[in-house]
Amino acid sequence: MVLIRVNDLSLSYDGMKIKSLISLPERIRFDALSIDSLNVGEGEIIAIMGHNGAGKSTMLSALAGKMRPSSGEIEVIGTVIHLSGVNPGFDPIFSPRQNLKWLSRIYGCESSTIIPEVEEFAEIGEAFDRPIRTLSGGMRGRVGFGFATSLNPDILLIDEVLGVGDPSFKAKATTRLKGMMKNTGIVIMSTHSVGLVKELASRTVILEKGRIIHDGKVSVGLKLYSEIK
Amino acid sequence: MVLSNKSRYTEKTLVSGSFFAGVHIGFRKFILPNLSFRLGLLWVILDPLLKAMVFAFLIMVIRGNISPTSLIVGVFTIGAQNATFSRSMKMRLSNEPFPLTHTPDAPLLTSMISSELFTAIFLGISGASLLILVADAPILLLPALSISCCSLAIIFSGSGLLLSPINLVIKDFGAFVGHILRLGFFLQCVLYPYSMTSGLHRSVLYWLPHTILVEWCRSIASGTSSPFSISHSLEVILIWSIPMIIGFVRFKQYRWRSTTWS
Repeated sequence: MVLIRVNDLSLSYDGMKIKSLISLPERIRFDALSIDSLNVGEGEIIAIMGHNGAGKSTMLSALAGKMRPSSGEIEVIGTVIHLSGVNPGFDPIFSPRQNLKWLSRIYGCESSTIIPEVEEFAEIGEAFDRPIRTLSGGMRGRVGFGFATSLNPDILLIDEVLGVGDPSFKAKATTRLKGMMKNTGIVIMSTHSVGLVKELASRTVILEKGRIIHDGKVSVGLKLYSEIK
Repeated sequence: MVLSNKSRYTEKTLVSGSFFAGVHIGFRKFILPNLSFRLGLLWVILDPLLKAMVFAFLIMVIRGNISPTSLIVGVFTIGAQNATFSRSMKMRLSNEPFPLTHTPDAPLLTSMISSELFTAIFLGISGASLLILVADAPILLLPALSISCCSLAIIFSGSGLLLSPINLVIKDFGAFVGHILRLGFFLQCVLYPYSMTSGLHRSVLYWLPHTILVEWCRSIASGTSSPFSISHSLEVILIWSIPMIIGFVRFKQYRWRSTTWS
């Protein structure tokens, strides 16, 4: 069974605000998320939409178990992959090949199948055997994205990761991501791409100032999104 | 996985949760900083050896007549203690080393302890080897100094964790503690033996694990008996194990708390 259940969730950020260079910092608090209820079942592909700062990334981080709720509860059944960047934990002094061998062991997958697959997908030629620190951001992104999408989680959380690389790579990455989504129990993606939502999502959740203002049909969600945008 | 303000219960994760994965990560943490140098892994041995030489030379110049064996043993044990404590206290607990998913606590804790142990073992072996070669210290110092460094590293890595939540919220705290540790270099039995102390200073030192272990190593090096009985030594180690155990047991909770600013 794969599911996500959220009850009375709230999440706040506390921090220090520096008013000026000569005054003492003061404490600030920002309520980032407040969700009464959200239930996601197996087979659903949910698109989370909302303008910048609406709480999409905070929500995905909380669902991934990376952020502590201020109150409420999140129940997640299944293994989770949170694609919020394209660095699965690379060591910059090793090459992509060496890193993938190590990371395969950590993430519990077969390096003998993953490495050729990622090498073929990334298309970075001899750079695949150069230290990661000598690779460009785009090249690192290709390797990282290739590895992340070769894992088989039960729940996939995607936080706007398709900004990697040039247009041809983006198209390739989108195809690969779609393939991965088809094999995953639950997919929740945070996106601004209306086309992607129309094509893939079975449900939309629209966030506004950390609160869900719509949870349901894609057509209704997209209409609402265009109005608040 | 059930997540609430009070706890993070992780049932299933893609990242390996085994003990050996933790040791493997710990070994990498110990080795990796050296691999960016030309001499690579040699620095694992060279670094503590050179540190010992520099300290021995420096302190011999300052103190003149003090035994280099006593000084090196003091410097290496306090180094194992303070560096570990500082690292644990300043550990960024909210960091996920493998950010695609939540990394369970067991391999992280194991990696932290094992990397500290690897460092302590090499510190002990290097210091003792130097003393055996240069100062004709008995071979028994090799395991004794390693055991002492390892014991201090484990005790103070757990105790340091106890302070990490405070240091996370109030960074000033870590800065103050850093100065206290520096002061500890001069207040503990590093530059002088326990026998040279008196009064309240002596009473405080009597209850510190560093004093017990450093004097044990010194007694082995000089062929004399330790000023502390076995029962007292065990008593001190046991007392200091309490904050260590609390620190390790609360690691999960500390990590969870540190994932928000609140």
